Amino acid sequence: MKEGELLGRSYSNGEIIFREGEKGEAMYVIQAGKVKITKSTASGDVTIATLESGDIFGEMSLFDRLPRSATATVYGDARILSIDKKKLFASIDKDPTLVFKILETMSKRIRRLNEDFTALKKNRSGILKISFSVEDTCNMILEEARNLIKADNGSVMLLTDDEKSLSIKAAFGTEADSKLKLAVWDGIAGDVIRIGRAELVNNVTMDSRF
Amino acid sequence: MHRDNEVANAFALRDGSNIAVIGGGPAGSFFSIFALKMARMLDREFNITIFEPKDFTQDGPRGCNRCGGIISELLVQTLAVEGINLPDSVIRKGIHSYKLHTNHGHVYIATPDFERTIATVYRGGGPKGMMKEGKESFDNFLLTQAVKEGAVHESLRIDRIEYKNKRPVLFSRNDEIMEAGLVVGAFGVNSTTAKIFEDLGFGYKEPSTVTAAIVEIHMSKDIVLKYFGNSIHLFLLPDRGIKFAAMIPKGSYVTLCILGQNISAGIVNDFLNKPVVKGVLPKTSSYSIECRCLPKMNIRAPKRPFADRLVMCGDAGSTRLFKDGLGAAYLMGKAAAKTAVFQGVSKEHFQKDYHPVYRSIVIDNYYGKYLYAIIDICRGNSILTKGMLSVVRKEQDIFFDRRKILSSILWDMFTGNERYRNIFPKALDLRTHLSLWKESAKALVKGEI
Ligand SMILES: Cc1cc2nc3c(=O)[nH]c(=O)nc-3n(C[C@H](O)[C@H](O)[C@H](O)COP(=O)(O)OP(=O)(O)OC[C@H]3O[C@@H](n4cnc5c(N)ncnc54)[C@H](O)[C@@H]3O)c2cc1C
Repeated sequence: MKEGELLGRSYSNGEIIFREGEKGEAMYVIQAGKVKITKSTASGDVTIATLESGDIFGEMSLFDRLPRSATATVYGDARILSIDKKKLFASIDKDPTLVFKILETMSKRIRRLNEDFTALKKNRSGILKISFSVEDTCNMILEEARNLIKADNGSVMLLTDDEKSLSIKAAFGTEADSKLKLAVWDGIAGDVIRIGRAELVNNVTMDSRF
Repeated sequence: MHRDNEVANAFALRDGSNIAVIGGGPAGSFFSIFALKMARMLDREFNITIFEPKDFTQDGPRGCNRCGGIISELLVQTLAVEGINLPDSVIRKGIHSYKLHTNHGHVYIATPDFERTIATVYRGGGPKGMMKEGKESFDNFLLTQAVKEGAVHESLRIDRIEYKNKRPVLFSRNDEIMEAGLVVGAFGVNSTTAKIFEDLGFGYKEPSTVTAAIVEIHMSKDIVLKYFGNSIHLFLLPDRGIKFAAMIPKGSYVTLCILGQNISAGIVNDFLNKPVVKGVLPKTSSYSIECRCLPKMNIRAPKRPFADRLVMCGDAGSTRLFKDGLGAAYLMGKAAAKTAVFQGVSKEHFQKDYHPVYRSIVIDNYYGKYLYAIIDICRGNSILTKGMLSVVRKEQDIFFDRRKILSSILWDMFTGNERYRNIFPKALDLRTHLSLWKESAKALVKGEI
């Protein structure tokens, strides 16, 4: 039987069902095909999950009333059934046990996240231990920072052996120059190393030390 | 006080209890699926046996539980939320719109974005010869789900129940089959089984029924697609005996259902010869009528649907008037399962936890009767029919769904998308009445009658 005759709405490869940050008015059940759930980070999109036929998604925004936490994109062709928030809540009001399956799905996801998180923690300390190169370690630190803060430029500097200057061990962005060395008293980084305390500068261009 | 203690102690189902489900149609399967799912959540174990002599993998009458086979949007979505996702093999067609035919023209009502939210299915293998299409029946799918959850299917017809030591004992052809901690009556209205329960003397009476008609019309898949698309074709005609009729596309067949007071073979023939019906069907040489039947339809629920260790589900109890009987079977099956697993199986337990759901369907049907009375007036009067068509046509151009009141009333009435009670306030909406009267007055002035 042709796809167009079956249940749900047909989507083609790459079509976006909802975007991160949008308001959520429906949840979805995959009838056929696959859907990729991705989250955008400063260093690009990260795939959180690839869901398949029978899987539910988009339920989080309905319950926490926050914007969509990730983007759902069709992978290959797919057929998806939408479930309207108002109708779902009216049914749950009459029969609260309807949430059992949604809770089960959510608990499975939390369990998987816990496992991923534990594995990630283990892996990270492992990676740090086996990473003998100072540059690799600095790059890793910078990469992690980049995942947390959206930034155009960034660098990790280390004090040179003679303690007179800062040398850039990892950097990204247009102004990145890994060969550059700064005198230890220069700029914001100089201040941080001298005083020994982290500093948060929201707009560097307004800072006279930049 | 004595009874209270007895209820608490004796009527809680113990681990290992036998539950006998008479009838493996949707109501029996839904009860079993949910009872077993819920028992597992509580680390409990019950032995559920579903007695069902029909084989839903067979085509023709051997496997058929005669029905239109429309799964409402509400039921499709609710089942998906429950994790019971209807597989493609069960779906004969996804439906995104209804085309309403009258003697004065037609009008479309569709889902937002034309999403196919309604499913059409066969309840058994379908008309004879249909098996080669490689599809599965809805009733077989549900029964298989129940067996996967842990139920046992016995291909037996239960013909007698007796009480021994205050417990029901089931018989088939004079053989004692089992003593049960609970008997679930999910036998529908199309057998003589109600008599067994009437004879138990707890006050159960077979539900009142009317006779409906089902006709299976065979044509090529391409013709079905060309003439019917992904739409159910609904007929609202000024006939006294016929409430409404629907043509439901399913692969290489179209199922015609005629609902009304007491439909006979003669009424079916007259209907098929009406110009408006002929206008919807392809030319006579392109289709053939494969089978017809006149099944019974529950229109009034019995007063006593339960007793100690006995409960009725689906059509044997209460169902929604003229629509979404499968949705009602789901509601009642689940309500009975919840009561039995979480509370107990005495009449007090059923009165407290199951009966409110049962009654809500009964009360909803009162609203349904009123709404059908309004529709009867509209379809019986050509000016009002024209007014109705005109309002719905105009509503199709409106962007906001909230303002498409008459379209949404008709959609919800016939798709089973809403309970009648929720449609009722829309039918009282002053704007609906004003626009209906305005358009009817226009039709009158134009003298198109
Ligand atoms: C013409 C018509 C069209 C309809 N169209 C629709 C529709 O499109 N959508 C919708 O949702 N509803 C529709 N319905 C209603 C729907 O068919 C019923 O509500 C539904 O079948 C009820 O399910 P059930 O399990 O209670 O009963 P049934 O489906 O009747 O199943 C009862 C089962 O019990 C078995 N049984 C009976 N006696 C015994 C016994 N003694 N021992 C063992 N087994 C036994 C029978 O073999 C049968 O399989 C329609 C009804 C009619 C009459």
